[in-house]
Amino acid sequence: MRSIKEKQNEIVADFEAMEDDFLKYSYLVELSTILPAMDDSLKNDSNLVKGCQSHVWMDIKISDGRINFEADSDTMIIKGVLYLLKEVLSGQDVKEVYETEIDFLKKADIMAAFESGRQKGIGFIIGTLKEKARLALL
Amino acid sequence: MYLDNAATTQIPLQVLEAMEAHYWNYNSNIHRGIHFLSESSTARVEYARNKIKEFIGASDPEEVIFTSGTTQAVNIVAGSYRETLEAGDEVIVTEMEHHSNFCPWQNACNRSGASLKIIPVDDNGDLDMDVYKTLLTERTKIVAVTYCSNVLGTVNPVHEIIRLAHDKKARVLVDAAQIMRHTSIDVNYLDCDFLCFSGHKIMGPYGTGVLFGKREALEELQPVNYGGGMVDTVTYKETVSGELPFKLEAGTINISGVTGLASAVKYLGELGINKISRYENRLLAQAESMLREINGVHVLGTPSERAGVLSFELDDFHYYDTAMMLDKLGIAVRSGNLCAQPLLSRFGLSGVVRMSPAFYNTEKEIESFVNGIERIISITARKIA
Repeated sequence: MRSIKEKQNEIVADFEAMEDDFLKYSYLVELSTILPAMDDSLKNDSNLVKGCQSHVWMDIKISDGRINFEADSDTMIIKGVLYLLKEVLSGQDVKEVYETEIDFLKKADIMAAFESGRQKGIGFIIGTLKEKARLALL
Repeated sequence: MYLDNAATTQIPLQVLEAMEAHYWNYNSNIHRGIHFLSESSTARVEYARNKIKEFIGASDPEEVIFTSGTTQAVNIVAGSYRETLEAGDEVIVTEMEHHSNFCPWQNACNRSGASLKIIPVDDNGDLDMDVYKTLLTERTKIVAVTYCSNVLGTVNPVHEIIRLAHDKKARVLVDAAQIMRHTSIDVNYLDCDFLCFSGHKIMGPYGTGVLFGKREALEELQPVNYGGGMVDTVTYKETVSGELPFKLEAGTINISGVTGLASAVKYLGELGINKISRYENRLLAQAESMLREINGVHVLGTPSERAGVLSFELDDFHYYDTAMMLDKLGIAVRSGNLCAQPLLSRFGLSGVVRMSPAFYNTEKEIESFVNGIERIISITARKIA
């Protein structure tokens, strides 16, 4: 399996090839349509990520020291972001998840175009994943 | 492309020049200085008061109170009513109020023990006037109603609302923030007791607004703000308020802003409100008919008369996403709850996208905006390899 860093670099390269912001966000919307569906029963309060303006649910599981999660949101752009996070992090070692900076959204210049509330929300999503990884390391 | 004019309008050169001229030539506090600059500054503010008086058809410049905007204007009235309302009294608002004309009344009722009654909105986005008639009683002290919804664009039958309220001896406050570019206001014809609007939605600067009140209605109000400029006498024991309009204008008003507002009103008058209104209505109708042609677009409401704004949703797209994608195409619209949560809840929504053209927009821009919506919708139809 490629490392988190390698996967992030690939995504950044994909986005850098896009001509303008509209294409970048269009791509996120397209990705949202292929994010695997999350069972409605998992969209509960305990899986709701606190601090997001829109609704975001994540059901994170750690097994054999590796992280996996299902996720959903009521906004397509955030669903696209969740798809990319799954691409980067699913099946990765929790130590690597905890220690690697998840900065592809920043490097791909996606983060800068989000308004501050949404930037914070994405920070909470990444923070939730890292916190699960940290707890698994204890 | 700027299609967020219901939030704020762009400022014409004449208005910028009027404000700049104030700072270059007349900058001084008003009414309190016996010197040339203060006299000049005072004259310009009182000229502005007269311009506003003429613009809204008031009988007397003293019925024009300068405020920081509609919100402050409503709070001046509601803040006074908060002190005089009693348990058992009733205040009527509508389900389509902007929070600015909802929260101050809710607060006044909660603090005084009065009841807040709400005129419902029907599925088309019109007020249910039959229910309104049943809500009016001898205990109704004031009806606070928007002339034009900032979400639906519904133009309410305020003349009728006022007439019915007056039959019960209730006063009426009209929130005219969204209507000022869309109809000529004549407060004498309307017979409203209070009417308020903001400068920045009619080509004027931020931090300016107007509270109009009939003299007897204004005289009933107790000041909410105390301080410089609004007093007659002050002793250790008490403060006696001065005369209208100053008793409701505590502190230094936005002097340069008010001169800018006068210039904005003059500018609109020269263009002609009816002409502006006809043109903006045409753009809005064009946008509505084009949007309704697109599968996956849902325009909110079909009110009997719509002005200024068009709110809509797209299938599958959160309103934030739609507004953000439009922004990436260079198109500015507003999204969210539009400070009208009770209304959006009534339609089972948490937010919408709102476009609001002004007279400087063009038919070609409306076409580009609709093309933008089509481009956004087409994204989900694409398949990822």
